[in-house]
Amino acid sequence: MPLFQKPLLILSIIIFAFVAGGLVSHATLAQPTAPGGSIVKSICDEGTGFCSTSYLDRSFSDKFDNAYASRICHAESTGNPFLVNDVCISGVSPEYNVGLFQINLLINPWSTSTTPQTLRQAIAIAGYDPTNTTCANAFTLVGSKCFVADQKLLDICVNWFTQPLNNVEFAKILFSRGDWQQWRSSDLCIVTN
Amino acid sequence: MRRNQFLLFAGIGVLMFSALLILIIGAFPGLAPSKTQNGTGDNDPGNGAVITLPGDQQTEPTPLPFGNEFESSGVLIQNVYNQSIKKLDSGEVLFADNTQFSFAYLPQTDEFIITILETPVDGIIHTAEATFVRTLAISHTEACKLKVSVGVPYFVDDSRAGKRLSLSFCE
Repeated sequence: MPLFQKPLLILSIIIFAFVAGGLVSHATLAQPTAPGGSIVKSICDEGTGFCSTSYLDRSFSDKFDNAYASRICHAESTGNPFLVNDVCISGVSPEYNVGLFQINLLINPWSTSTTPQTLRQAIAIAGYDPTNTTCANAFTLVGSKCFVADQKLLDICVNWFTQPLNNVEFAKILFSRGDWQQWRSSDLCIVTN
Repeated sequence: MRRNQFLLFAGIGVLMFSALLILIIGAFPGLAPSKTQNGTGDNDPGNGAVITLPGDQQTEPTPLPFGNEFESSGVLIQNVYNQSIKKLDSGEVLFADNTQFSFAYLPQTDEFIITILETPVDGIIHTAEATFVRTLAISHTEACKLKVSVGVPYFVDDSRAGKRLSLSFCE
């Protein structure tokens, strides 16, 4: 073996390892990741648009909450901010769910004192007393069946919760009071690392 | 012998440069070419699309299309704003809504969302897709160039929710 070939062989092995390492590293980084870099596993797909992790990042900065939020958002609404599930009208279930996170207006906001400021303003501008009025006042509930008692108030609430940022911010408030188990789709979209 | 040595070292140099490039792209995925930015009309709904928050608009609002048609992902489509059922201040528009499905368009990501609202899901998907291409007045080939996300909400069918589908005829 000529003199120069031995160090050359060692050098070739080192370069091969370097290239292989680079390829493995790239392949690993190409997997789905939560903000912060951890790999996320879930049966649910990450959402896009208003359900994307980048959009939700400002409200859900924790990497797993963010990953969870994106998947629940997509599972609940497919990322369609206009989505309304008015199932209480037919009496199937006491729910009138609106927007990205399908917030149930029959029980949210749960009190006038916890009504978000901009919603309170919209309610006040429409001539209602915001200290005594919340979205639930738009309905009369009999068992699981609801009747729209105040269409004007309902329109205000639906419009407010249809706004993506409002809906996400409210979902964050709800989440901070409990966890993702408040959304039924959380059973489907469990996120692990 | 010197010529062989030169060739070997040149080869090593190329390999090292390639490895370095792979590592850099791996460390900074944003440097890799994005499918959704190259205008080739792939049907990937586009993970990680950045949207300006409505309450935090530092850039100019997205100008809304006017006229009878506008271009989306390089395809000329009917102007969905002319068929608006509901529109948000930030430009999102609902342009079909019935008991079976709804269509929304998000201008900031140039993305269409088809939401299936009734079972049987597979049958409704086909009806919705046919209506979608008819509404936009485009062919199936053109529809496959758009960014379209088809989805089923959890309340409609929990066994089909959580998945992001593309148009079935594009597969």
